[in-house]
Amino acid sequence: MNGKRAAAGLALTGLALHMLLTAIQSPARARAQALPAPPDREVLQVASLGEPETLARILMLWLQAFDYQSGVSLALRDLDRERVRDWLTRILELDPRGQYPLMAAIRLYGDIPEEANQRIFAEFVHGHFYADPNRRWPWLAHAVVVARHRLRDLPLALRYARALADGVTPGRVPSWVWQLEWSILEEMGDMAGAQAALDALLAGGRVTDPVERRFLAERKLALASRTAP
Amino acid sequence: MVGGLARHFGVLVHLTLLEGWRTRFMVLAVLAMGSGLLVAGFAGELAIAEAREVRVAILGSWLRLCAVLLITLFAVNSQMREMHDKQLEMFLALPRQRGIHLVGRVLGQGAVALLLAVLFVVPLVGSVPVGQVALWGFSLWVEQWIVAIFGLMSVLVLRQVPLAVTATCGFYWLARSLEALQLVGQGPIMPVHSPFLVFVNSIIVTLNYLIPALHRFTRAEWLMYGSGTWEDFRFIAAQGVAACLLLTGMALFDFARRRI
Repeated sequence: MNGKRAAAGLALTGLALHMLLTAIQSPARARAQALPAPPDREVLQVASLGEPETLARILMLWLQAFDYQSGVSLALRDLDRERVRDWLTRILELDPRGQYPLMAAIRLYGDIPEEANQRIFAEFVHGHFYADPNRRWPWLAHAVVVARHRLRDLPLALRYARALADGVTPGRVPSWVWQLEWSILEEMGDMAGAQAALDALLAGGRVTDPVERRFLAERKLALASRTAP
Repeated sequence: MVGGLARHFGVLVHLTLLEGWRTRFMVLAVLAMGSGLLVAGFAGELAIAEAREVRVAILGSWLRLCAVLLITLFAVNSQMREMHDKQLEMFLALPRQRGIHLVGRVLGQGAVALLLAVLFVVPLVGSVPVGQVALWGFSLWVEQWIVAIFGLMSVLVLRQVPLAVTATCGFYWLARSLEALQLVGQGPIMPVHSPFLVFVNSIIVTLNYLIPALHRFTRAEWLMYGSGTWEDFRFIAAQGVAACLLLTGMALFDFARRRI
């Protein structure tokens, strides 16, 4: 009986001490933390235990949720954009077949209405496009749209559109991918360049659908009539 | 002779499976599977792209780690129980070579590993092509079996559960990271003339010949991209046979020389 009482007394004393310690501690305050620099690729390779694809997915979810830290919600624009880009690069290195980092770059971080952000993430997508053009073309196509309509930087949009047209394999992507170039040239006022691009498109056999070919031929005629004195 | 051996092995396999059932090992496995489904489902909901890939990658890796941890604990605990309950002495008193008993135990662990692999394949069916799931399940079985034999050997040599579990976890970590460590050690920024680095690299290269390449087993990328091939199957089968023979041989050698 005494043993039971002693044990209960010990437990109650422990509980009281525990509650007292919790009460005198300063209350937890949520603080936003800066995004750390990513570790070297080799460190991540070792940490992945031979499964870099899984680690890439976990890191991607962690990065995506970084703006929601415990108790604090950061605006995406408050994140260090160079750090975010470096993390995306590491994640892409871990799983080169993954599309998630490219999609997040251009559709999530690149959507922040700040020119510097849009440029850095569009350039990120452009830089990594050449490694796997037939798989990564949708993200560069989106970068063309960002450069053309949000940044209003037509030379940049043209550079991306040409990279896209040169990189992909015919038959593996829709034909409109090759039509971005002439439409940007037309918007830039370079009618001769747009006609040359259309000529190359029609002669190169990349567009095979008869209706589409007829439409492009009509566009070429329309461009020619606009350039005629 | 052969019939007697088969019967003896059959008894040991049956006993190991019975032990798995009575110690609620399979209940733990079902709990691990359920928690994996919850974690992977949650992660899949968080993803804004490639939700299926995120789900199967996390589920596959979770199940793989759980399977290896469970089989390690089971193998070590089972062998330790046999030693403490004096069952080992009883078996060795039978008119059989002592090695036969250990081989029976190894086969029993293989049967438990097979059950676990079959159970863990179930949540992946439907979201991954059947051939890839089958390859993943086969690989998980072989991987678990290798780890279980190492666990048995560790407990026979070290005779302490914490030491045996730590040794098995260390072996597993090394088997999955050896290639990455080798690449780091031979990286372009490494001081190639440093005697210490040369020494460490030579150890890593030597270990490469001794330790199975588990980083090529049970890969999440097969589930995500369907990239598993017959080449992978052949490699795992060959590596599994070699590793199981090597580890069983080492365990038999120690078992045969030991005074019990």
